[in-house]
Amino acid sequence: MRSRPPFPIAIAVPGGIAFEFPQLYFTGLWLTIQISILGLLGALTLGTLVAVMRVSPIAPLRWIGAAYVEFFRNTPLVVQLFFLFLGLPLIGLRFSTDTFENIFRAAAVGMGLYHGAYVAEVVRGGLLGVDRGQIEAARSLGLSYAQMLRYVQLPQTFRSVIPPLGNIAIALVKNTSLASTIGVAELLYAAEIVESRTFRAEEAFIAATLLYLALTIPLGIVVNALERRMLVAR
Amino acid sequence: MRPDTWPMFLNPAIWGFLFEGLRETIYIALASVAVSFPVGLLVALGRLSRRRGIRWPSILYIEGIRALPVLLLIVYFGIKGSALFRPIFGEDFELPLFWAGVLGLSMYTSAVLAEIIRAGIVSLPRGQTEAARALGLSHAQTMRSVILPQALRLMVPAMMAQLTTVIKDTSLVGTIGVFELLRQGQTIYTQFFNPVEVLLIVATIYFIICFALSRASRRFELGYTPRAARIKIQDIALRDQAA
Amino acid sequence: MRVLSRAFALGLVLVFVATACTSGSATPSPTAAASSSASTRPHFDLATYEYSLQTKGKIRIGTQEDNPPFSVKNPATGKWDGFDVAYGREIAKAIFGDTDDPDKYIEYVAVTSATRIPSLTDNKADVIIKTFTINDDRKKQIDFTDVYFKTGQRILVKKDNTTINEVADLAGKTVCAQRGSTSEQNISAATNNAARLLLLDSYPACLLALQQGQADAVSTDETILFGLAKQDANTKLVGKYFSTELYGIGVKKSVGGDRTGFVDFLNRTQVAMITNGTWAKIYEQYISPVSFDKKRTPDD
Repeated sequence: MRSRPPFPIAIAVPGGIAFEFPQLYFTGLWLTIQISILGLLGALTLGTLVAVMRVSPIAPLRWIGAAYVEFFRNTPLVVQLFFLFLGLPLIGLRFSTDTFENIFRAAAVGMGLYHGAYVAEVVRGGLLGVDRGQIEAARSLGLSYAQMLRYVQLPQTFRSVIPPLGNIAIALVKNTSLASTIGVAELLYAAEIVESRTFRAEEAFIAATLLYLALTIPLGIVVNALERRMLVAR
Repeated sequence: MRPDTWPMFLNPAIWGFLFEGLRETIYIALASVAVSFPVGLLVALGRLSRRRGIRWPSILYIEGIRALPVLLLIVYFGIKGSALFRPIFGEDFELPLFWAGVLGLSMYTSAVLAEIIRAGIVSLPRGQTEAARALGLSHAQTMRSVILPQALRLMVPAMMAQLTTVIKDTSLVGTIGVFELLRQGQTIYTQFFNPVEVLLIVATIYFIICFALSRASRRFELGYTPRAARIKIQDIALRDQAA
Repeated sequence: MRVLSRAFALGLVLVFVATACTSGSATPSPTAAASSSASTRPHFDLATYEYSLQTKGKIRIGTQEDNPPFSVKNPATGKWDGFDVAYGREIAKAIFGDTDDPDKYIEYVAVTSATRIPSLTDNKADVIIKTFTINDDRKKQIDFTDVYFKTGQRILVKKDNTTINEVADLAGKTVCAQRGSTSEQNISAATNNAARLLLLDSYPACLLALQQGQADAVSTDETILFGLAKQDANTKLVGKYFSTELYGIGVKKSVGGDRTGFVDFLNRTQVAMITNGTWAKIYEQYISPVSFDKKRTPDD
């Protein structure tokens, strides 16, 4: 099923093949963006929560937090994705009855769980980096533990952890490519399909590459800019 | 859950099958490290070169590859690897999938290692280089005898962390048909229909290896790492910790 | 690689020439050839490859270890079995004559889809019998015998499924296939893009999705579906072929006469097998249990 490239686009523009298969590539791009955003939100929320657990005075919470971090950082993401897709239904859990909704949600949840462990470590480092004097002063002024967290420790933490979190975000965007292994029609999937139909592997993969770059380069620039802006001693 | 399949795990043949996959995983990881380390070192030195003709291609290589998902590289070489080498090895050449996977994985890892090594070199005090040059050592000698030994010692923890990532990424090589640990597990659970049990076992095996590596890397911090270098290296690791 | 195979071919030619010169005739007399073995041993022209195999005392058959029902190697006993294996045994019988142990003169060489052509061109195997689809690209590199098995793409569903019977019924359904395969393209073409494709890394993974209800059907070459159906008795194949795959036996191209007459010999053997019912018997033994049909010739 070879397609005839419209001469000017395919030859002159690297990645022009994306315009021959707009549905595949732009659906792919959109799914990549969606999974990235959802995954990132999940990772940030979960990671912050776990980081707070890990520095809390309650020992069982610290243990659970540590176990989560160690497990999800030391196992491959693709194993986690397969488990969410093919393993959960056997325990009776499913994200959705529609298969495609199911794999999309499984991918987003997988991204959140995996990167959440990295976020947790980074935020924990930030929490521990906040000057003890601040914490003690807040407590001695009568603020409860929760209030101290909310008004004193966490705000100062976030300033210092933004650059490493930005790096995690970049890794997350790239890792969405793993969702192709459970059938999500994201960017890498699009490249593979287009290659199998046209045999133009270089063009197909370069198009996907350029689209990934379109996501990761701006993120990288933002991270670098933030790093300079928020020159907090780390 | 399929408790009726649990007796299967008493059969040593099943574990043998999994450990064949584990052996393949370790081969892939070792081969990738063996290839990516020298390449990464060369590219790192190229990145630091004063000559623009060497520096710019190095920067392009590092930044270009780091911006890509490692799975994309692995899949590309899985599809096109044979064709790429045919001009050299002849029309009948078929690149074994193992080496296609190693190629993709080492390409990615070499770019990350290049950044880690560069961060290490750059974090050394200028005085070291200046003193060496003042003593009459050439650039190459300075690098070889003064800078690199110190930089590489600093890099050991970061490189061991990268090794952990490499081991996790061998699971991606399974998608192009290499029979590593995860793929062997897939063969088992697609025949016995017990993905929950098998995936948990496979995850545990990866966990044991990676956890042990990360614990060991802590013991390998040889010498004092300047705080700035440690943070820079940590950031590189975060950005590139592919799955 | 080309230099080596040319040298080898030249060597073979020299040997044949030398043999021809010293024996004084090109055709061996009935008593001169293969003198020490049983009288059921066939006789071949000295110049042919099958003669050299007979002299060598073994034929190297390349096939796959895990391709049911065509070829499987039992990990516990090390024994091979399957349609392709049985076919290979018939070829061995045609060269070496009847024996008690069908594998006596066979050396099995395990190959995969990636290594099957190189194993021929590198002369590691004499024949490849491994669900090998004939196409023009491959014909440039190796020779094929006539079609020994015809198959096509079909559909696998759960046994209690009544709504999917033909490819047209796949419209709007979730169909699983392997990413990057011609199978998924065939499905799109046949349903006019109306099927919802779930593309995973492998067909066993598709089987799992089917079992869990995450896919309504799996579609690919019938032969692969046979293997899946064997794993899960709760599935069945439906539908007529909506694409055609022709399997042939792979043989190295004759360079300098080193495979003289071999492809013709294999074709003749095949015709004999079809005529005397052996082909039908093998089909019934290995394929019928999973396909629920009987065939007498590959063209049925």
